[in-house]
Order: sequence, then structure tokens, then C-alpha cells
Amino acid sequence: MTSPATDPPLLSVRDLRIDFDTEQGPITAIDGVSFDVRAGEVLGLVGESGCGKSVTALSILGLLPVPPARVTGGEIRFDGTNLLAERRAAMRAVRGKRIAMIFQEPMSSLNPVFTVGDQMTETIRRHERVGRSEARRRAAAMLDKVGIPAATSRLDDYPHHMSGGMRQRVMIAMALSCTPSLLLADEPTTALDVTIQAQILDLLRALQSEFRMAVVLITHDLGVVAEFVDRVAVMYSGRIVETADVAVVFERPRHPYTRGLLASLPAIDTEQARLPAIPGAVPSPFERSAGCSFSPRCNDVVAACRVAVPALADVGRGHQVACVHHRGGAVP
Amino acid sequence: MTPAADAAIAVAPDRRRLLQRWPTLRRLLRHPAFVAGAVLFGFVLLVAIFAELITTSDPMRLSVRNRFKPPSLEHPFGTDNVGRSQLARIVYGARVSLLIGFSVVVMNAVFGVLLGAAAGYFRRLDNILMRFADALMAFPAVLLAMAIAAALGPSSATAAIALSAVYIPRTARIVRASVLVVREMEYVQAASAMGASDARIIFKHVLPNCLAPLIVQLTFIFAYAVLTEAVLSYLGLGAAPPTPTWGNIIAEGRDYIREATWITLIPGMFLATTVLGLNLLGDGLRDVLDPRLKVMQG
Repeated sequence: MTSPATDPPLLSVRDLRIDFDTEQGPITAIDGVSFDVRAGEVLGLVGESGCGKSVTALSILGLLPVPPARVTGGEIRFDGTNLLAERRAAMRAVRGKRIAMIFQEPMSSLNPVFTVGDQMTETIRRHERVGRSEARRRAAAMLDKVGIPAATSRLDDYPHHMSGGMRQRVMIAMALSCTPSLLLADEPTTALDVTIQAQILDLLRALQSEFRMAVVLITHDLGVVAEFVDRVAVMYSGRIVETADVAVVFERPRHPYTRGLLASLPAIDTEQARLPAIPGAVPSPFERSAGCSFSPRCNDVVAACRVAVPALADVGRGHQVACVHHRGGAVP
Repeated sequence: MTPAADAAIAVAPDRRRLLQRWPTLRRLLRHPAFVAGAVLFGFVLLVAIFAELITTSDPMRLSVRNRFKPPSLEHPFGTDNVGRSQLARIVYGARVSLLIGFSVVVMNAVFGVLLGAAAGYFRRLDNILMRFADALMAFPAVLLAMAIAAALGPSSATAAIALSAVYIPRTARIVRASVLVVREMEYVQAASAMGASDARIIFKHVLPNCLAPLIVQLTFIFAYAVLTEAVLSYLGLGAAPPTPTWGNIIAEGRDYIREATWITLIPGMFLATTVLGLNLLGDGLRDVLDPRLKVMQG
């Protein structure tokens, strides 16, 4: 990897492979995924449903249900230690303290039978040696930071007293309450309406730069990507097919899948009757072909595509593409 | 204003606040079956608690002169074949029956919940625990309770143990089913993403969200336990005979059922009232706490 930074990345995923055991036999959900996240960097993990974005994020925290999931290879290095080899107790100390996660569904991410303050102080006291009142004070300070008015009195609210946007703010406050160095955000704005989405993204960005925290943002929304992330990794069918700085991806996408995704975005300055779509559907993991998994849907498919899976190859300036058309910096 | 009126004014907002804070309570009080069940069961409960105030007779005292006295002012529920006061026997019998029923409920609340939570949360334990539960549930409840009670020797404690062993697998099943649903909730995943331990997740995030079906189930188990305990003592496998239990009283009155109907009839009515009351309570709780169950069963 030709990372411009000289210091080692905060998170380094190398050749991660994850299988799921199903009744029809094992399927490979993650097939050799590698990526780095540097301290303070925002990486966007982009792809359609079922491509393995969330599985990747959950595996970083060791939260995949085992069985049916099975990590069959690779390593996840966080700050020098391989998280896949960590003991359960050590992983619990990492979760919430050094790596935190926020989820897609703010409506169901809070326990309905306890107050917001109760759940926030639980997390704080799990990781920090502080008393009840100090934890409460910190929880209130965090709620205030995520823009919840009258934070102290809101601590005694139950989740059903709050709107979806407020609950997502609470989730963010909870996730950041122990100042993690990495935040995994799994589609944090998907369940919210558009105006709230923008507010939450602004909030995340502000907090990200304030805490100098690395973020892995999982999304299928390229608009969110353009607004928020530094670097993009595009996933398709369990593999990363293209990774580059966000500007490069939007200006000069190389992989046909990335191009297809960008082409299917509506443009504000032209009138289009119908948006272009990528034909076909993601192949079922049972029917993956030997070659590039995008080849059945690709317009530029050639015979070589169906022979072997193309590896990620450097095309310059940290831009990597896994496509037979882009080997060793060749530009078509 | 009189002090009483002052007190009434002070109490009224309190009561209103209580009903506002507990909307469930308000809905329960509007549910006719729940209210009827609460009245019936509450009546039996009060009888059991205030047995000493209801009668001064000793439930054990024989009185050969007073054998087979039909209900009268002197003996409100009559006397039995050895002249014991039936009122005293039934009232103290209520105490024994409800105590056994309550112990069974407590045992279920502890062990049924622990086993059910373990089976539902730790998937590796699920098969072992549930197959064991299946094996126990394959026996008819009464037969299994009889076998255990006979093996341990008849007493009220063994009746409670035998009945617990019979019903704990059922409670565990119910708890397991709820745990299987709740453990997939996002807040459970969120809690483990925040570094919560398994124990913390089970006791703080999973079980409190499984309470509604559990409360309903425990109410029904109370009813079954009281009924089955009566069966056990009727068969001589419950509390040993001089101890009054409804089952014992009915068993003793069996031989004289034609001549002295009251000996069997009145404890039978108490038993029926208790079980009916608990079932109505359970129905009401189910409708209010867990409306989905009603749809599934209806």
C-alpha cells in the first residue's frame, strides 16, 4: 500500500476472509478484504446491500455471531494488536472505549426499558473509573455536545420520549463518551429523513475533527460519501474493487462498478427521464463465478475477466483498482 | 374542613399521578377479566393471610361428638368425619395451598428464567437444555409430579419441589422464546458494541424486555401449581394428612360424598375460585401486557 503517511495506520485490515455456514453449505461473505485507516481519517465503505460492508465492521469489533460466521483468514490490526487474536475480555475492553460503533436504526438502538442517562452512564462506568454522579455529569456534557437542549433533564427521558434524530444524537453521544480513536458508523443516517441526515452528518464531522477520531463510515449513499469522507473503498460482493481519495473516485472512477454507481446518481443540472442503472443483480454468494464477480453485469467484460479474480492494483497516488483493464497504471 | 376531607384531597392527586405514571395499571383496572380475577384471587389470598381472624377453631382438633355436622351458625362449613371444623381446615388449607403455589412460582421465576436465558442466549447450550426440557415435558404434568413426590416422600416441601420440576421447563421455554427475539434487537448489539459483558447484557438488556410474557406465564403456573398440588394431596403425595390442604380435605371427604357433600364441595369451590381467579388475572395481564399473545392464541 502506498500510503502517503509514514506512521503505521491506526486500523489495518489485511486479507480478511469470513464465511457463513448456511444450510446449503458455507458461503464466503468477505473474500480477501484489505484496507487501512489512518488516525483521524474518514474512510467511506461504499457498496450495495449484502456486499459485506456491515459484516466487515462487525468483524472489527468481534461482534459477528459465531456460528454461523467464521473468520477463515486474515488479520485486523488496531494500534498494533491483531484484534482477531484477542481474548474475549480484552475485546470487551476495546469495544466502546477505543473503538465505538453506531448503528443504522436509532429507533431500536436504545433499550426501551431504561432511561437514556442510565444507558449512557452504564457505558461510561464500564470503561472509566468514575462514580455515578461524575458519569452522569459526563453523560450530560456529551448530550450537550451532540446538540440536545436541556441535556441534564433529558438524561431522565426514556428512548420513546425522543425522535429518531435525537436518538441518533444520543447514540453518537454514547459512542463518543469514552473518546474512542476509531468510530464505526454503520449507515448512521439511512433511517432518518433528509434534513435530519444533514444535521447528523454535520455533527459527526464536527465531532470527528474535534476529537481527532478516525471514522469508518458505511453507507450506500454516495451523496453522504461526497460530503463527509476523505477516502473511499468501494465494495462489491465481498471484495474491495476500488479505493482512492474521495475526489479521485468522483472525478476519475476506474472500476466499471464505481462508474455505474456514479452514473446512476441524478445530476442537478441536466434533465433525465430515466436514470441509468446497472443491469442485473448482485450474484448470490452460491453462484459466484471464478473470475471477477462483477463480470456478469459489466459492460466492458472481456474473456480475461472470467478467468481469475483481479487483484487490487495501484494506478497511482494511492488509487487502487481491481479490474483487468487497469493493471499497472494502464489507462484505457 | 375536616381532617378526613383534607386527607382525601391530598390523596386524590397522588392516586391520579400513580395512574399516570403507570398507564399499564390503568389499563389493567379497566380490563373486566383482570378485575374479576383480582377480586376472586384477592379474596382467597385474604382468607389465607387472615386465617386466625376468620376462625378461632383449631383445624387439627378432633371432636367425636360433632362428627358430620352440616353447615350451621356454629360450624359455618360443617364438620368432617372426625368432627374437625371445616371452616378452619379450609382456611388454613388455603394457606398451605397458596404457599406451595407461591414457592413454585418463585422457583420458576429463578430457575426457569436462568435456564431459559441461558438456552436462548448461549446458542451452544440451547440444544442440550431444551432437549432435556422436552424430555421432562413429555410426561403428563400430574404423572411426573407424582413420580417425583413419591420418590422424595410426601410432604409440602416435596410437593413444591415436584411441581417446580414439572413447570420449570415450561417457563424456561417461554423465557427462551422471548430471549431469542430480544437478543436480536439492535440495542443488544449496541450494548455489546459498547463493551457490555454477556451477564450484563442478559440481566440488563435482555431479561427486562422479556418480563411481560413471563409475568403472564407465572400467573398461569400459580393456578396450575395450586390445582396439581390439590391432586397430589388428594392422592396422598402432598402434605401428610393431618395437615389441612384442599386436596387432603377433599380426599378425606370422598368416602362420605353422598351423606356429607359439604366436606368435598366447599374446598372444591375454594379450589375452583382460586384457579378461576388466577386464570382471569393471567388473561387480563396477557391482554394488557402482551397483546401479541392474544392474537396468536385467538
